Amino acid sequence: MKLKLLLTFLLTVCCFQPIWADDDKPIEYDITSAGSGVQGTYLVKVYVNSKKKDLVDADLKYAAVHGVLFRGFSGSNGKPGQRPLAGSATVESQHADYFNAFFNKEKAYLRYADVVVGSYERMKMASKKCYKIGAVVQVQKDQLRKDLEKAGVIRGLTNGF
Amino acid sequence: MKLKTLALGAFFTVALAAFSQAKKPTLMVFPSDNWCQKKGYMQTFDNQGTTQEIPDYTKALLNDENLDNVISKINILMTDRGFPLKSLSQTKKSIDKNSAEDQLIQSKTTGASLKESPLDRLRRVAKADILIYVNWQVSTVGPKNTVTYNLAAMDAYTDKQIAGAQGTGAPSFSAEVPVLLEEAVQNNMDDFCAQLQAHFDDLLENGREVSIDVKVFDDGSGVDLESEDNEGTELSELIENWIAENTVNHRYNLSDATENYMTFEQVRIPIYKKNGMPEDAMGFGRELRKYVQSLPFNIPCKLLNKGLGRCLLIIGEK
Repeated sequence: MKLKLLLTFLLTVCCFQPIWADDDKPIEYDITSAGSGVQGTYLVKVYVNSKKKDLVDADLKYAAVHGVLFRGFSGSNGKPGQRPLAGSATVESQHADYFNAFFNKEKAYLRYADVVVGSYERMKMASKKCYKIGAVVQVQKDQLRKDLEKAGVIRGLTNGF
Repeated sequence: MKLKTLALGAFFTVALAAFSQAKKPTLMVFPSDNWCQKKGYMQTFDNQGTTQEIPDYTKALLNDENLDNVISKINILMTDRGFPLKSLSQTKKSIDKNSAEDQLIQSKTTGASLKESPLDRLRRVAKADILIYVNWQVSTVGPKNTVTYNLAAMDAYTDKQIAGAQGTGAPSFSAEVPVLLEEAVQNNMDDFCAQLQAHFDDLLENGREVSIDVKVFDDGSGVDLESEDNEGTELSELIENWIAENTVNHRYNLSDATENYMTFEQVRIPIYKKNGMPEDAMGFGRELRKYVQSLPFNIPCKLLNKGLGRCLLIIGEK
């Protein structure tokens, strides 16, 4: 009986598992260039898939900072693309403790991003029964890079000289 | 007491090795030859009967505001990275000023002026270890302006391009050319710096890449690079063996050699000397000179410094 219950519970969990493991933390996003930012910043357009109609800014900022750090972003029509600031996606696992605190515990990433007012977009994705929410985010990339260099996560140009 | 001295010596050796830093290369931005040609900033000179054109940087810097802005912007962004560039205009001014002052220097006792060879005069030009060439062109289609921008960093000693960035900005109806240029510099700088970073990382990991030239004075002594020692080994072979033994992972390339010269390229020298001090091509060349002078040929050698990454060893005389 207990086994039956357990199996029923597991089946239910598996069937109703959301597309995203945690509704509070978006793990699916797209990032592209949104043009040239002012000196020391990147201007990126991020789209986050969410089950919620109203996504909080923190999720968009997370996507922007995470994308700038580990994915880089493509450009088109004269909008500049950039390489990942941290070098590659492997840096995230190499410095797992640092980035766990950065994105989860301390939420330090919030300091490096600002959502451009009036740039929100929302599309209902009928096929996935979710929303695709987008916005233009300004990322303070110079400050982010300097702080990561200071923390020894990435190397600076002057390291070794 | 001896133990104390030994411990102290060991401490200083370790401290020196731990805290010493590699010699920092200098960077300077130049307008590319192509840009100078298109803008008419060239000067001609007679090179033994052949008319040659070379860029006139002084004229370009004096006349082109955009060039000044672009160089200044690149410098601002590099300074922000902790890597300020040598200024081309300032270096040229310093050379002219020092040259004028040197002409007037006299000793108190005999009134002797400073000694200067024709080679000294020839080498009194703006130089850096890494030369960054910038080029751009403005395309106008109807009311729209577009800037295509190109940045290339060349290692002055190996002639390799070590970093580059190229791109065309978004077409604009309203923005003026200086604004488009500023945007182009800004958008391409991170990519450029990432490549520069990869070059520096490689340099710190695998040793500095330098070039070493070996030549022979035509002094009638009969000694050249094919001269043999008591065991029948040629001087060129002895030199090559020494280079092989003293390079990082024996990495070097003897790109050309005759009885009169040897050209070593892609010579990976250690970043630090054995005593922990930073190493460069000149320091490495000094060790090579000592080795050649210690050989049974008993010949003096002259060593000429050509910067952080190149030196010339001339065998036969000082």
